[in-house]
Amino acid sequence: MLVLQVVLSGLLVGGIYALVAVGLNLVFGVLRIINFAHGDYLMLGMYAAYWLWRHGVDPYVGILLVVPALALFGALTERFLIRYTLAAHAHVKIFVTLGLSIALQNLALLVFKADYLSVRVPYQTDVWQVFGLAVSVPRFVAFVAMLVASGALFLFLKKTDFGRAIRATAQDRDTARLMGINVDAVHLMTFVIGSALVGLAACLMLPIYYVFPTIGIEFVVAAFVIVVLGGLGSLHGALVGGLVIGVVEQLSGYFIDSTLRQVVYFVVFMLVLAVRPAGLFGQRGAEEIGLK
Amino acid sequence: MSLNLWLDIAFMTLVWAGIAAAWNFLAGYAGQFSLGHAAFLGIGAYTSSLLLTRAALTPWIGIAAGAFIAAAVAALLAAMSLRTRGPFFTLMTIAFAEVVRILSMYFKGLTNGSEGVIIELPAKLSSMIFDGKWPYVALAALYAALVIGLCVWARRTKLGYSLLSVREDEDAARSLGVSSYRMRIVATAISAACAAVGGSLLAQYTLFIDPDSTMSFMLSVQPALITIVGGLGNAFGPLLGAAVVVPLGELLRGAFGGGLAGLHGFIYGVALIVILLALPDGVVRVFLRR
Repeated sequence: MLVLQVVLSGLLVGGIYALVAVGLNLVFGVLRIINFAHGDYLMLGMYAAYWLWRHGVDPYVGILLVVPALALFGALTERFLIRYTLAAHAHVKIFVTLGLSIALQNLALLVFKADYLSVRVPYQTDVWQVFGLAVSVPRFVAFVAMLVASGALFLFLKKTDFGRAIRATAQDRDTARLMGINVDAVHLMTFVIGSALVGLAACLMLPIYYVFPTIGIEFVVAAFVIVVLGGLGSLHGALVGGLVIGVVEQLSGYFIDSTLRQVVYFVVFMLVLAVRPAGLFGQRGAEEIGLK
Repeated sequence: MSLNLWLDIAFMTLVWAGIAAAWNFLAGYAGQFSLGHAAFLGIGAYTSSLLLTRAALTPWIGIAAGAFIAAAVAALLAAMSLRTRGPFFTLMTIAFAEVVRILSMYFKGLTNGSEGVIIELPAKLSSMIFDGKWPYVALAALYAALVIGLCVWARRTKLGYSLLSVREDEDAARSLGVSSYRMRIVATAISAACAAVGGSLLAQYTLFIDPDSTMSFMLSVQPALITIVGGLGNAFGPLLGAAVVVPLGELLRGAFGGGLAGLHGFIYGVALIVILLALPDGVVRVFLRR
């Protein structure tokens, strides 16, 4: 029973990881950049939702404002920063988003100080008892929202013309351009979707986690692990990877030692990179596309 | 400002020039961008400090031991990373450094965990502890000169040419008979060993180490930042970069550190972006322009 409870909370934590990882994976698959600042967008979203809560807006209602705000911020960074790195040297691609991450974290430190902030909402500590297992309500809400958001994204990519354009660009940027796809618009839209998804994640996480300037690091590192484990450019890979990492983290935290829980998933990460860098569900060779 | 403050800045600049040059050996020559060099700094710092405080072994030998261990660990890391390229090698090094940092906090019996290690010994040449700051500055200058000298020399050896070919096109290099796997392992080990020496020197200077002060992620970013500002792939880039970044950092921290925490990091981040977009070859380019 106890093991089941640990696995369940692992799945719920993993759902949140997956929500962050799906956006990161999409941006990676299409733009071929590793966005180190992805977690800091999450942090900005959480501060925005926190600020709204201070002005009487419930975090779940705040989704309506935070998601568009993050989408706009994503659009601005893509248009005025990321776009100029796409054709640049490898080191420019890696370090521009790292510089953005450092700048955003320190900006948050400057504006909001290093304090740990959290909201107080009535449903925060609510727990449902299901077959003797405790299910935290805000975590369950986050999990369901993650499934809905990923399902919607999946359908968008599969069924709509713009979704097909995104997938075509992910497969081959130059050929997509030759087929008349506006690749710049695809890049912009992809980055907007990725940023909007972390905006959603931020509002859903605010009732569960404290917000502080470096909160993004923890989640973006987990998201990197998930993206690599699940497979580059594979959405369902990101979902499965998120759940696996959540369960692995909770189980190792419970049975081995809570300080070592991160070590376990980092080791998993390194082993995957060492043996099959394309990940479990990724196409073989995906890790080499677009590196030159 | 007092002389001591200037000597402090001189020491930090020179040590970081050496560490960045070690990073540049791997990144600039072989095109392998590590964001895990803090682990090698930590391995160096912990090896020499623990040998000194627990086994009373002189740091002059302890530093070499730290460099040796760092090289061995780095070779293992590089061997594990052979299938990864580009940003995936970077992710691998980040994960590696995190594992080392967490383990250093976990094995309290060996490392004192997050309490850290204090070196409390009288100033003596054999324990590499000095009263004034001048000997430290001299030591740091020697270190920076040795690492940069190694880079200048290695650039013209077979190893140097092989690394450059791997950086430009690994598949083509391999098809021409360059053993890219061996070259990558050797380059990572050399770079780690040189960085570990810098970590030991920093520990001998501050006489206190803990996992955060020797292995935080920002310490992995620092050599990359310095090198990119100075000039990636140029042997003297890291020296130039350190001369810009380190004094600027110290002065900003001195000026704003107390009241406006974060401003100094914010300027770092923005400066990194601006340099990358405006001067992707670094400040050294300005001097090289003919």
